[in-house]
Amino acid sequence: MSEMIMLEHRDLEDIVSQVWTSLMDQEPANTAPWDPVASDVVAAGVAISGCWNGWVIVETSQQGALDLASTLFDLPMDEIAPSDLADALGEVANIVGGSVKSTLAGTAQLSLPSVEQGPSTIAGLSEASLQVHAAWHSHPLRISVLDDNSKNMQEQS
Amino acid sequence: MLAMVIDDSRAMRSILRRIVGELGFDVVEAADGQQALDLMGDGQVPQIALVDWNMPVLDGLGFVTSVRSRKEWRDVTLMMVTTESEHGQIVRALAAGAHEYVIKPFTADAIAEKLQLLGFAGAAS
Repeated sequence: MSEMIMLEHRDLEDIVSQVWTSLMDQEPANTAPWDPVASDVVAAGVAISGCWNGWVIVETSQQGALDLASTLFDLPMDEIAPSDLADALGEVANIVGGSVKSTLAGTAQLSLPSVEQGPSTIAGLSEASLQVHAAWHSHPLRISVLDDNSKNMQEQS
Repeated sequence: MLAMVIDDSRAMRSILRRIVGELGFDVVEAADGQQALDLMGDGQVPQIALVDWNMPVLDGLGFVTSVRSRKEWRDVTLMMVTTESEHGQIVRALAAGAHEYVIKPFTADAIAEKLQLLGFAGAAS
């Protein structure tokens, strides 16, 4: 049986803050609105399976993902290829997912990240029990933790 | 000195390349454990390898185990750099032959401190 995740909203905020501060050298502003045009969203997710089963999903705008990739690769935005953008956002989801996994009491595995560009096909995000809305460099961010009762990215593809 | 950065994410390889490059290492990259073993087999044997755990083809634990099974590579220092933070998994990696363990996210200072602990103090030149 999947255990209850003990993560609270404040814990997820702390994880997001730590990841962005470490990787992007700047903490995101919390409680920013999540209002990008749906077709502009880029989403990266990792699955956690084991003592708890679910997904950790990081979403931002296309421009946000481009800025994020530019920062991680230390390259100008016009030198960032679409594959770089997916790689960078996927790695951020991997690190956030690993941090969420570290809060579990039992044993679990983390999947390799998957990335969706264009209109999001993820269902259940709006009902996610744990969600942080933030902004980084004025780009919208949404980080969600969904348990396996929510439809996941694989089922949508 | 040569450092090998082994991670399936090009973004993470880019970050680690900059960090260890600024510490004076020459850097070679591999996208998974098997690619790293192939590079080492071709003669690019590093003094230190920074190894992700969760990778396709051959994961970090498999890479560590393979390196430790080869006498000619026994002097290669292995440092895990990974999101895998379960105590049992850390113990597994160290028991398999990894020397140090860094959990993502990390800072450049944290990598530098670990390299100093491993005897790569100051610069690698």
